[in-house]
Amino acid sequence: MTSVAVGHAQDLVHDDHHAKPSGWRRWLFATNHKDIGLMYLIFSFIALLEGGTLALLIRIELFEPGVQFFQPDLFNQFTTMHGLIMIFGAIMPALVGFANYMIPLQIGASDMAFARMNNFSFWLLPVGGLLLTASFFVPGGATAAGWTMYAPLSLQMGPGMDMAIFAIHILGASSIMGAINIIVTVLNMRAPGMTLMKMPLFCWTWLITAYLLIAVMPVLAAAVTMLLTDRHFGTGFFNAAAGGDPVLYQHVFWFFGHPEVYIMILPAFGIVSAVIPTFSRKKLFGYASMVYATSAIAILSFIVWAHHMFATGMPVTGQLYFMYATMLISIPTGVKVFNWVATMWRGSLSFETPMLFSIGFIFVFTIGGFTGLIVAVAPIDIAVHDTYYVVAHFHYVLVAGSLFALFSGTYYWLPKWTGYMYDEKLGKIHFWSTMLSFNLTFFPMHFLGLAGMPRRYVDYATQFTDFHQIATIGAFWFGFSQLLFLYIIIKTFRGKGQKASAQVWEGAEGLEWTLPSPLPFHTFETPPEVK
Amino acid sequence: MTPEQRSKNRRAGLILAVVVLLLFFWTIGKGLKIV
Repeated sequence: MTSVAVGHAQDLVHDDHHAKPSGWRRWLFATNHKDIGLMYLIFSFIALLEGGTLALLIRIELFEPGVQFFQPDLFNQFTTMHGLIMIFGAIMPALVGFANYMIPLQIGASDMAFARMNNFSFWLLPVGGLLLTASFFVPGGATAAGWTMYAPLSLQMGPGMDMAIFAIHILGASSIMGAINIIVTVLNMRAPGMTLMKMPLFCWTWLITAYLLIAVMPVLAAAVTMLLTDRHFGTGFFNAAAGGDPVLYQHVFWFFGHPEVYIMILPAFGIVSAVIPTFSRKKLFGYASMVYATSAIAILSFIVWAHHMFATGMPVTGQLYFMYATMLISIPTGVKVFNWVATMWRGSLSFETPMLFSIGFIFVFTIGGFTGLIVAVAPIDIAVHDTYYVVAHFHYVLVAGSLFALFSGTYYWLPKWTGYMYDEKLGKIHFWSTMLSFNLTFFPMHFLGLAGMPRRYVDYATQFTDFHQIATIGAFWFGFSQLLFLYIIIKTFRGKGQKASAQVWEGAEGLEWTLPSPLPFHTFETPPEVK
Repeated sequence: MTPEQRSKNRRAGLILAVVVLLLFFWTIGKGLKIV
């Protein structure tokens, strides 16, 4: 009870409650975590549509062999920008949006620790996004060096490359500030009684992810800064002619790049770990082991980077080390998948849309995980490196992993955000349409890759035509399915649906469900008591 | 938020920001050494 008294004392000191601001000021000067979270989610959906449009342009070109619509250089710009926009514009901001919206609610905090910095973190995003998009219209167009921006190719591009570098600086700064905010919020702002091991798993996964961001975003910033100085200021970090080493770029990039993969998946694990217990009406199986598994994945992510570089000609001992280290990651990941299944085991299951997306996640993400193990095997990787097998693998992990979890989380918390239930029937149609079209798009890519179809090619040999056509049909189906998602969201925000109760889901547990739906503008100004 | 909590937050935030800067310059320094 002492802790509750402390909570009330704090509230008395805090007498500068702001009224809810209105009009454009509410958004431009937003310091409320829910408003900022919502802006993150809207931004990321716009980026998803932009990156998705680029994907469809790629797919329409690949419908038939030969060059139909786009010159090879423009095609390469599309593949590059599709990757950059989806990673830095869609998936990461969407996860940060969830963090902003949900972490304070789940730990019983009134807001994020640094509310104004939070505003700055968000408003850097449109700047970075516009810079990336605008680079299509400068001489030479956008960067076409691939999202990995390997030197020396990236040293030879036009000003679009500089814009991408600057955009990455800006988006990286935004991520770093977001990560600092999340770490400080989780460590310092928890309600009395909310010990670390009582936190919902989503908060845990984001805490660990935020540490990953702090550790690797500066490394990416340094890598692209070195590209910049090589391009314009006479250094020779990655230029062999000047005594540098292009492979150094790959090492630095992947030291960022591999943890980045987990930055995009760990918070998704957190969402799934919230949804599955709710619709199984059971507590999460093995909570502590989930926390340790997440930490283990994060630590391992720092010591496996060169598995992206098996084809660069490293010593066999190096290949062996990176191969075995990579395979180790399957152990904590397996623990997680086991725990989700064990949570469902003998649970009182129901299959609302969030649960469908989470179960879909388990099935399809696991396929991506297995193909990850296959490409971790150095001799196999040398055969399938830079083929569509890799494209299939990482889309199974990032689309069926991160994106499915984001859909699951959106449907799960949408009634809490809006105060209305979404259209369950349409939600289910969205799930099945997404699930089927996703597999139609990406499953054939495994066969393409195994047969030798290289990635990032505008043209291909005729024997690949059938699978490419299937993938293109699937991609358009997938793309247009997401318009249904948009429709469902808008309909719910407009209040067209059943009113949601505070509890929303029968089996849901956690502080956010003690608050009314829709959420009031200010929440937990008096910290709740957590037993 | 109490003033004590605010200063505690700032301290934690600053430490993390310093870590970020160190990592940034460490990476470039490492690059300089290698090439």
